[in-house]
Amino acid sequence: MSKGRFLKTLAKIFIAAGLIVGVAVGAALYFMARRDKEHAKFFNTGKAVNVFLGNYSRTVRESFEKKDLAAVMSLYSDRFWSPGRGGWEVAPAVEEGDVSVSRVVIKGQQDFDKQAVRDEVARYLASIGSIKNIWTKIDMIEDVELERRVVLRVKFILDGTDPQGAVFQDRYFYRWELVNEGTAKAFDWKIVKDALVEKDGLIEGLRVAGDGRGFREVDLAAAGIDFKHARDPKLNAEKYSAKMKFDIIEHGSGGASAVDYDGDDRQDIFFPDGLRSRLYRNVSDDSGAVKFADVTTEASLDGVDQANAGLFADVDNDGDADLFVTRYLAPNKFFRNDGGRFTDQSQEIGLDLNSTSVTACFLDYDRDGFVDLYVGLYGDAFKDVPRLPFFAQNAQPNRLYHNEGGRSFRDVTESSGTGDTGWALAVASADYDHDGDPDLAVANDFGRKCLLRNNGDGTFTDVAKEAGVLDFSGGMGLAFGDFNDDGLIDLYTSNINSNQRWFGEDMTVSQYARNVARTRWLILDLPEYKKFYDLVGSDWPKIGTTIGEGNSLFENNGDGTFRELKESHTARAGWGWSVSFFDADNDTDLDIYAANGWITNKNKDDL
Amino acid sequence: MGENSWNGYEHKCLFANVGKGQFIDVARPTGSDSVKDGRGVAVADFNRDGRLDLVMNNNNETPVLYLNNLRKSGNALELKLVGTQSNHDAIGAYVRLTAGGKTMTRQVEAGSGYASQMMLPVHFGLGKAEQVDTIEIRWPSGRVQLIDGQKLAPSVKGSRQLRVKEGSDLLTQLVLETR
Repeated sequence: MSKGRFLKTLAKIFIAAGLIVGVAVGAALYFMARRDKEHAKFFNTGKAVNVFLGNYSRTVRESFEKKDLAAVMSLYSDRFWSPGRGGWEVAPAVEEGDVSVSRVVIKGQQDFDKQAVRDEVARYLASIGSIKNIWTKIDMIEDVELERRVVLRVKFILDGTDPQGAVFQDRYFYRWELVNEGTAKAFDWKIVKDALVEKDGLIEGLRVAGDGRGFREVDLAAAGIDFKHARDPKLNAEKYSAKMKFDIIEHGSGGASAVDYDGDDRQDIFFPDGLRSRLYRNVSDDSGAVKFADVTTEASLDGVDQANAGLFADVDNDGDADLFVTRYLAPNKFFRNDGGRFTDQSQEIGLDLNSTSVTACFLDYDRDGFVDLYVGLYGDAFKDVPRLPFFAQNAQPNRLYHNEGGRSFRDVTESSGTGDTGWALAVASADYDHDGDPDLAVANDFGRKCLLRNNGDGTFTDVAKEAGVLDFSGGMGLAFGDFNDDGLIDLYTSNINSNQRWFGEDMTVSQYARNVARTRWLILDLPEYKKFYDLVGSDWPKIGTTIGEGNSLFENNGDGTFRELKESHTARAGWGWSVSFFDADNDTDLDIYAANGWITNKNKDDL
Repeated sequence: MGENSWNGYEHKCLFANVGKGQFIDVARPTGSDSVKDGRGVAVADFNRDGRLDLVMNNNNETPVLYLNNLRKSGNALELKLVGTQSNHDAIGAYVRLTAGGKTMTRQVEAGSGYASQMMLPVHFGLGKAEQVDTIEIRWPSGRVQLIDGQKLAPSVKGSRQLRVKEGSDLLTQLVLETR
């Protein structure tokens, strides 16, 4: 593009974007002063509600342990009144493999006052043998009268054992109306009305029970695994916070890989690590126990730090698995495997990019018999923050490398059109359109998914919008798999599910728009707003609620599009990370494992 | 932050597929509900008993290795594909297996989830089926290979791992176990 044309196009974009956001921003500016005050009230209300929910968990436990309902009942208003509520009971269980599933049902239509609730809580606590954990969290905020009244969908989870010793988990979704019976300075929330959340005539409440031994956690020392994940010391927030713009990055790392690196048909483990990545060889006999040995040194893989992912593939087709390691703010590494010993050939082979690589996958996109490599890059935490927190486009571009006959890799990012600049955390490959060549998907933090359709001529086209998988959120992971056995590869993505935080912290889109309107970023970001608007259109104000909804399951329609299964009960998986499709119980269909957690410190009370 | 958690002590989820696009989280009653700060997860059959195990890396913590010990577990078949014309690992291969009147699809992949990689061999749960009817492999090269279930040993009771070489009818049996 010539300079003149570029400027002209840029001007056009600015004008278009200006028109689009101008109205919204103008309105926002107008109401700004008044709304700011309201927002402070919103924040206080949310904070107080979060405190109340924490108290609810604590008082349920206290009442159970002391066999005295006083504690938990103190959180119900004397004016409690749920007309036509009916009693809540657990229906007989249905067996699902090793697990029994009981659903909550509503019996009758009688009105409930505080005494009736008290009787029901008493019956509930009597059905419990022991309590391990209780969580009471916001699932959705339905209505807010600042500092006075809120209507919430609340997720109540109780882990325990029943009087017979079975390990169970109760998951109830309540609709609670809370009223502040105190003041704006000293909140005193009480429940004045409750209901079970119903969706399509189904009550969202169940008890799952079993023996708790379907997956046996192996004693690591006995299994020969002495690994403990360490963060990259060069990203230490306490030390370098002043230099870093986005110091939270140090908490993000830690991939895991299964590989048969020595060709003995036993699956070995590689842990990429901030300090010292380790390779564990599977040295089990076939007694059923597992045993591993740290072979990092003898495999010549010592000294790999600042690593986030280690991916194995036989890049030279010599029969053994070579290793590519993504490193953040350090050169990536490639090790050639010759009979179980690895040689660092990062430079020779052309895979020593020194940038912000965090994740990768192998695929043979041109089907020439040699696997190619796609690498996902995050933003630079020392230089940048995610510019738009719901559509950050200021990371380094992802990279696609073509494997040149096993001898070297050539960067084909530009010609292939695969250099998305979202804050990538996950990439994966599958032939979703069943045309014979592998496609790519990307999960971006503070952004959306990309679905890069392989055009079969060395180029890719991002079709995420047309395919219906934009999935705006804090994208953390993704997995392909045919969960409904129709022969089409479906997609599951992991995202951040945390409405708790959304409510309690200063993070709504409108507030963000107001803040941004006062900074120069508004001008600099206009082209990005335009791109954002092109993707989501007039739905943009809804993005705030969409972002916190959690993981997404997309069913492949077979015509190049996907349909999100919002009622599949796979969304609420917390602060999501790795997700995998696998048949856990060998019953032929694919189940899902979803990892989660974000900053788990000594204190169990969340921020 | 200090000693405080952010989204701390979150249960990992095991969403059991109960059909019709519905799933139920059974992590707690199956004992797979670690509350560590989970990141990458590698799925593999580490003890070669035909049941898929999990290893999870946890930020600033020790990993979790779960051995799959579900009692009500069906038969299984694991296929290690070896490409000749295709890339050696057969990454990108698409496998359809028919058994017990049902056809399942798996693909060979190298890198998914979050910074993770599951084992290369594809794993098929077979439920109660003791006989595989057919296996259809679409190799990355484009070759489509059909394997007649009759050629597999009489039954797949227990668990079995097979090696399939692109274009070759010779199947190598890796492990046969009876639990």
